[in-house]
Amino acid sequence: MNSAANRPVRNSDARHVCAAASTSVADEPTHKPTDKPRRAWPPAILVPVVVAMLVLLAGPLILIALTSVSSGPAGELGRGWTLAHFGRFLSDPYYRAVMLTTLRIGAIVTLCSLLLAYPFAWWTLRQRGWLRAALLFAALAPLMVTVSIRTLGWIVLLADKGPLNALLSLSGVVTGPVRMIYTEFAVVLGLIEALLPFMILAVFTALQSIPRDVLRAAEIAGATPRQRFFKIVLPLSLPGVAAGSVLVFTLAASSFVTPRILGGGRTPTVANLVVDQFLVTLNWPFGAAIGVLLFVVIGAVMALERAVSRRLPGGAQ
Amino acid sequence: MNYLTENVAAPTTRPAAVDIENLVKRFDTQLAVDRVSLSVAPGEIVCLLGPSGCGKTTTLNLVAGFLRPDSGHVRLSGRRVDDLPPHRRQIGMVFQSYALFPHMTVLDNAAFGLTVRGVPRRQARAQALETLALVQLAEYAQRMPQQLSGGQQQRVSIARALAYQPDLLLLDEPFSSLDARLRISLRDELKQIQRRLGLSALFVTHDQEEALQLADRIVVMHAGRIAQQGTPHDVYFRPNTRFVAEFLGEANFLPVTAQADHQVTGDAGTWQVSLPAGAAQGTLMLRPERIALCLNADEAGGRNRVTGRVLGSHFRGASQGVDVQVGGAVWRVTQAGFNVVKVEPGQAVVLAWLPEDGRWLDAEAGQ
Repeated sequence: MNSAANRPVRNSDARHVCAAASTSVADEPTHKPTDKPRRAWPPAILVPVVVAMLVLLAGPLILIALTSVSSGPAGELGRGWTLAHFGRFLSDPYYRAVMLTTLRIGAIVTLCSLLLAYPFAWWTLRQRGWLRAALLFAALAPLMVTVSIRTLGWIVLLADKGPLNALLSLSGVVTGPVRMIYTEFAVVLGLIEALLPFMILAVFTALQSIPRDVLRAAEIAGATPRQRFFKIVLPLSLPGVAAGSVLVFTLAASSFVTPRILGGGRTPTVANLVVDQFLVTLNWPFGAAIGVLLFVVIGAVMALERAVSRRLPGGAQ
Repeated sequence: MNYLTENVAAPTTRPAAVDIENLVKRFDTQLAVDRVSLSVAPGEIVCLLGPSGCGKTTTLNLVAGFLRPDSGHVRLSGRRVDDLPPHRRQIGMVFQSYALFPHMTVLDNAAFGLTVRGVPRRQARAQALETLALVQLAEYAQRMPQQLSGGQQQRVSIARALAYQPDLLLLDEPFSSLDARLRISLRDELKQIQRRLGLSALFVTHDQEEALQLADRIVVMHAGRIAQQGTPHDVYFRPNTRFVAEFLGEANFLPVTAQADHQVTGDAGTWQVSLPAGAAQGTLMLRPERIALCLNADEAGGRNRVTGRVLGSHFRGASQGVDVQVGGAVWRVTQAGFNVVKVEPGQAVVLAWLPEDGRWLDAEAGQ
């Protein structure tokens, strides 16, 4: 307690003392910038999970990293070390093009998911009762279908003689069938459908966490709906947008089933290169090196997201 | 800035800042606001007081425009605003949760209402800074809201609501999340600012002390309706119902029967009180601090009086409460700290009060 609490106060200056006291008595800042979370040892109950992560995640990653620099022809460890596999990938224009394609697909899928998910999440948030529940269920439905079934569905839909082409010729937009299946377009479409739920969830959660009073405060202060969106809603939802984007980008850039089936081998991606090197060509060190490169690129994107989010309101927590 | 100059006495011809007429609002089947009519004169501060769920916040939201009434009208400065969205009503509002914009500095928060009105950035900031000075926060202008204490944040939100010189200030339990000392000092500060700027304000609270101190007029609400409105002094000393009497403070309620010549008879005596025509069975209400604790009948003088036996006393710092057994009932008497009469449990005492300090409530109002 400060001294104002104990000092006898004359009536005439009570108001000034109170005003001064208000900044110091029992009115601590709600968030001190210097606050650091207390570090404590995890409880014993976490031991199985930590062990599982070490054995099943960190272990293989270390093995892959070691394999990628091994000079043994079949990736045997202990036969000397080399960076030749990385050099091969980076110097070959074909492989660099595959990397660019992969990153481009990831970026397009992320952008399209965001543009679809944001309005949907915003609109769903304003609904009540059964409609809102139904909309959220519909948004998450793709997660409940296994990836192969979902992808095979796209093959039927996008086929040269499929319903989409039939519809296009009926409407007279095109004369012959449009090649859609086994193109990058099909891959992007399939990935958007598969990954949209993650983006919707992330954006929805971010929008939901904006307090109603904050929106009302902006409204009563004179902000038009447009101003409220651009000055309040959008900036406050950016952490969610960033989180959703990095999630979708990561999953899109590292996916291999959807590009393999919908790309028909004509849209090679980095993840598929890795699979081929391990299972077809049996060049494990080279496959491992490609894997490590993909890991590094995606890690860099995630680090960038962290750095950006930290500067956003409500980030860094 | 003309709005910072001293308030010039308002001409009486100005229309009411708020005029609510027969407002009704239902949520599903529940009647949240039931035929509420009230007005706020220019420069007046009116408190909506009541327990939670009484409809006071709903009424405030109807004035703000966040809710639309099922029937009835709201006029602001004489203008019907039924079809006007909140952002065009020229109202400032302070929320219990502060509701500051976490991604803006204190200065940008305060300037928000000006910026969205298209006031040039420099001018908006200068004006916002002036308003921040009004709440003694000018030196915090570049901080982020999270770096401020609760009391400071609420002052920023007051500045944000005042910066664009609204016609009306709405306050929804603004001090309820603050601790007791801070609440009192902010209350004083707000009252000073309100007087200085001549603000018209509608203030929602469940804290009767806050209402009594801040309000020019108190509107007590109960179950969606207005139970009573009047000056703080009026509703405190002259409540129309037992609910109002109890909500505004401690009170003794004694079942009595009306007699001729403004006399009532209870089971412990016959006393003088002002009675309306046709009074029969009813309740006599006495505020504990209006009853004098006397050691003998001589001290009681010519006032209403009753004898009783002390049950015990409660020390409360600035005052002391004494429970006295009178017949079959227990009366509460409050003595101001400077005037405490020392009594022991079991001691016989005389309780005395002036006839005008008693309040007659008829059978229905006494429920």
